[in-house]
Amino acid sequence: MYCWHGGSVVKNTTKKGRTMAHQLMRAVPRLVARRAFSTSLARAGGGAGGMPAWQVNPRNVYEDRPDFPMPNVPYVSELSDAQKALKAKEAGDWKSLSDEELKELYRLKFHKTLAEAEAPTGEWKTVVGGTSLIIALTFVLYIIQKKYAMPAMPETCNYEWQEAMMKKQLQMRNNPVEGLASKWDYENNKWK
Amino acid sequence: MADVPAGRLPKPQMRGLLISHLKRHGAIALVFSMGVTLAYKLAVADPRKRHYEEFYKNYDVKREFEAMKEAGIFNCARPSWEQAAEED
Repeated sequence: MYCWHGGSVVKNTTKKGRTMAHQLMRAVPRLVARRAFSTSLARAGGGAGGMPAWQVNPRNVYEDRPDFPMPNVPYVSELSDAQKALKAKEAGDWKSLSDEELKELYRLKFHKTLAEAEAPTGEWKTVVGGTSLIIALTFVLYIIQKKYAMPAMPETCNYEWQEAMMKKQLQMRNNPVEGLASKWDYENNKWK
Repeated sequence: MADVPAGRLPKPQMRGLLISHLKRHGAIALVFSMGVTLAYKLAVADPRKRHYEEFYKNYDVKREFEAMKEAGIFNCARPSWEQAAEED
């Protein structure tokens, strides 16, 4: 019987009480004793706790997320003896815990504080730099292909032709109120 | 817990967050949009109306037509300086 979440199971009892969940709960201690599944699901590496990586539920992997700072599992789940003693002390009166012990307990449960997790990483510099580099490369490639690979522009795009087009537009009074012809001084034949 | 500074943080707002957000941002949005509308009226709409008024105040369409004709842009009203080609 393979139990991947290794934790609490909502009991769904039938009249006999011998449901799947019930059997699971009874099987868990046997399976723990036999190391059939990993108690430290924070290590998602394959085979480390007997659990291959593709069987680890990603929701039970520890992650520091600034937008959701409540991970499902504690950071350290395999405790040394000193840490176990500390956890036992935590079960008692909290006023008896010193500052160092409190910090140790915090670090057992979390990897980074919220301030540390939200601290600026400077990643934006890499992003901006990389993007600029690629855009610059694009410019270089475009210039090369414009010079060597692209055919000539049609002659209607040269300067004399464009000048003649604008002259025609002025003669036909194109946009005389607010646009092109409004900027031309017709009495003196020059731009206003 | 000795190194926690004395005094508590002020209790944050626990309820009615949406309505307080809507009130605050609704007021800001109203003021901002009215400001933008006023700026558009002053900078775009009124000058445009003025331009049209000034243009049509002394507009003589016959004079403009003659000027355009002499420039030679029309197909059927050729300028006076163009000698019409004789057709057999």
